Amino acid sequence: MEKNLDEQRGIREYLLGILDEPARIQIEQRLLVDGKFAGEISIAEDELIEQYLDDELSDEERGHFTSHFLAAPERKQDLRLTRYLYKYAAAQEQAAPEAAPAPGWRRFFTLPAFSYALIFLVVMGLGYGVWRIAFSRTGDVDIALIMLAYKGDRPFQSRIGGSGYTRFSEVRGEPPEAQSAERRRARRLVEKVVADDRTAQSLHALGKVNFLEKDLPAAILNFEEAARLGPVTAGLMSDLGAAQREAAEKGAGAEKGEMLAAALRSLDRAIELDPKLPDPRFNRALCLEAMNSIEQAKTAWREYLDLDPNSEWSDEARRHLQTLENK
Amino acid sequence: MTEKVITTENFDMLLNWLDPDRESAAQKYEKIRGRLVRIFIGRGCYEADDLADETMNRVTLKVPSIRESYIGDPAPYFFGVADKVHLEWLRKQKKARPVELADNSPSVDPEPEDDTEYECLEKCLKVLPSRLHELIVEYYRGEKRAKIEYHRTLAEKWGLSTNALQTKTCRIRASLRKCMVDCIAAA
Repeated sequence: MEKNLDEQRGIREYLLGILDEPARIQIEQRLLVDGKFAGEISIAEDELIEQYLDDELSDEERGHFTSHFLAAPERKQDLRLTRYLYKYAAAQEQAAPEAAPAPGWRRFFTLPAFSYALIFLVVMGLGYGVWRIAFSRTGDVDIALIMLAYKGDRPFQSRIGGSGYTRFSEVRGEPPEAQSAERRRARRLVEKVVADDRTAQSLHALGKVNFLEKDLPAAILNFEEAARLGPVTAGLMSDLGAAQREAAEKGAGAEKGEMLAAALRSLDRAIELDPKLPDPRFNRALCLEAMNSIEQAKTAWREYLDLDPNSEWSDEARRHLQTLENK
Repeated sequence: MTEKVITTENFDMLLNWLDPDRESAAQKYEKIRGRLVRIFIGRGCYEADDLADETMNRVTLKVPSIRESYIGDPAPYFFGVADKVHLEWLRKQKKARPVELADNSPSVDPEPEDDTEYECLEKCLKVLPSRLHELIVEYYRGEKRAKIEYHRTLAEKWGLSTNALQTKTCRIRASLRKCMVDCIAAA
């Protein structure tokens, strides 16, 4: 959208303090009530500071800039911030010159299709032995290897422990046949372990498989039984809360409310057991959103970002927080 | 300055006047206060926060007598009170000793750099999401000349309009400012 030039000129003169009083009052009154206009003024402030530092202001403008625009300490801070950003950007450029793009054949290795193919080849190449490694003689389950079969899949908004980041999408296609085969194999083996040795860990693993295959009632039963058998872990309660929250989303009315309340209890328990585990905090914020507890959800997202400020999960958390703050 | 004490009842009445829903009212309160700060900054006031608070306090005390008869959006009422507060502040500045004015007058050469501030900026930049970090660094890396063309190219690279790029960098700066305030306070 093209900016209105007259409006832009008026904003610039306002910032430099050279607008006549009626026009200034008009701008201020609009600034008070019009959020979009307030944003335009912020952009114009940043531009003016950059032009000052780049020596692009006329002598007259420079005079107004230093005498009027910089009168408030906040504006001086903004000026320093811009200087620091220029300095930082220059330092980054010196420290790490841009890497040359990979030759064409190397880029093949970054294609998603290649990633799936590689997983398939590695897993199939190792054969049955891979899944046998996943299960020790005592029936313990290596969750990481089970999750490998479900890499790239995220059937729900809530996150399940052990899964890497994948952007959630309502619309999903079927996984490639190779991956479906690996998933069927993972399920058979987990079920066998549970049959041989019904422990909290094996049931937790089965619950994850059911969750990833969107069988929420089965997942919840597995997680609840695992919790009864014990020991109860933060990861288990977080996964239970995730499944409960997703199951609630399919419900309605009082039933939905009760299920969300149950999910919240599970997630609070997970956080109590391990305050530094990110998964339950992420899921808790989602749960509070589903309960329409907007202010609590915002607090929960901020708490999550304090714990995990810099990851793809935190990018998603920021999007949620932004959506809530814009309401 | 307001001498009367603002009671909880006064404050509740103000919030109710802004919006019957308390949460929405609180958001409107913060929005109005924030915009008043910007207006006072735009008028060159170096006590913008205090003046905004004074404005909010005076309106709070006036609400019982105006809310029945007042029609329309409450925000413009705040503007009228802010104007009076500003005029009083200007009169006070004129009476102040010359040395006070000189202490706050803008220097011809902008503020010198502060090591603590720069270190805090570095810390705050490092906790930005990687894509935003990359964007802000690229934005400020551009050559001083031909900046408009550079920003247009950068916007295309990120799949944004030029306006959207500026809005995004503006928001990144706002979050960096907040982060730096916390960092400097902790330092």
